[in-house]
Amino acid sequence: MSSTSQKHRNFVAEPMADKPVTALAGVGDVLGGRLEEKGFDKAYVVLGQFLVLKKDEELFLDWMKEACGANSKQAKDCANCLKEWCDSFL
Amino acid sequence: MPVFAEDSAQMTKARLKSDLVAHSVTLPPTTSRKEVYVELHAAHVQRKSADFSSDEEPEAEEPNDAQTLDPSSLTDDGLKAALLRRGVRAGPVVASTRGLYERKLRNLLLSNGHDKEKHEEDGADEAVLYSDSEEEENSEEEREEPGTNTCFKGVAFLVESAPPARVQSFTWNILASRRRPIKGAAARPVQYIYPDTALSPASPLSPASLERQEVERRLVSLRIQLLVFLFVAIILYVVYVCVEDFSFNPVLALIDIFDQGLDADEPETQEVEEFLEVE
Repeated sequence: MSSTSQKHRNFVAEPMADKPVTALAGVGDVLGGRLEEKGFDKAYVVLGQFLVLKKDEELFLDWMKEACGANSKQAKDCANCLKEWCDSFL
Repeated sequence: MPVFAEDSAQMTKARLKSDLVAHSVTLPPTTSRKEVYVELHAAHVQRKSADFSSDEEPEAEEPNDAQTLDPSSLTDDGLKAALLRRGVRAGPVVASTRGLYERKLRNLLLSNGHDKEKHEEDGADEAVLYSDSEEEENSEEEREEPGTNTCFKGVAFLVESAPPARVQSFTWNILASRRRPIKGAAARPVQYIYPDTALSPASPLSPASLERQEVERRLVSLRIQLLVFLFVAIILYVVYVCVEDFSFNPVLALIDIFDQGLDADEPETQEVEEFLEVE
């Protein structure tokens, strides 16, 4: 990934604390809304799902598509963002 | 196989369990004791390996799997074991991940169905290969991974001696799903033969040795720290002793003597000066 979005960089720059799920790269208002409906209201809840899938990008992509109807790019952005966050803060 | 007969009692419960799952045996309730598993293992697994040579097992059981193994009817543990048997190291199977793993297993079963015919063609050749080289290696590796050893040879055989066309179709299968790098007749990947080394290619050292290194690194500086601490402690002690036993302090005594010497000198010089003035 040569270019990352500003959102990605913002998210990866600091601990996620209580950030809402929409702070994740690739998750906008629509996907965020769907995730919140399913109980994934904070970014750390999505992180939990990512971790319980053992940071497996493929499985996480599947989950993103299933859980909130994300497309491949959105899911991948989110996975990258979480992976990078884990690399620096976990 | 005689090796099997010795092992089943020594295997761990988890190992027995996954072996049973691998042979499509319904597991006893999770509270059962190890003996129950050993009995089941003896009844099903070892009887099978007596009937067929263990190398043919995969062919014998694959058809079963594709038809009877329903991911949604498995227990969480069973699902995890079934995935592990197909080379997927699944994470915890919990409510939020179960669906994903079920689908993954279903996909694997489907793709195995396609692989199966190809492998069956090789069945006869493989049997010949296995039967001569198996004995000596089994005695070393059987205890850890009875199944994968033979699979590995299956893969090695395929890759080495297969005609180009087969190799191509074989690699195509690998590319179809990147979770299964290399697959043998039993659909187990090579990487589990040495589970420890295969697990983390990025960091070749195990966590234990890393930890030991960390401790060693600390030990060096700890020694220096101790030395410094002792040195400081000794100095402080000396100072304390000096202050307490003021009169017996050799350093102060020296200083006193020096002072007295100076005092003694002074009058002399004064006298000389006076003498000079007088003159």
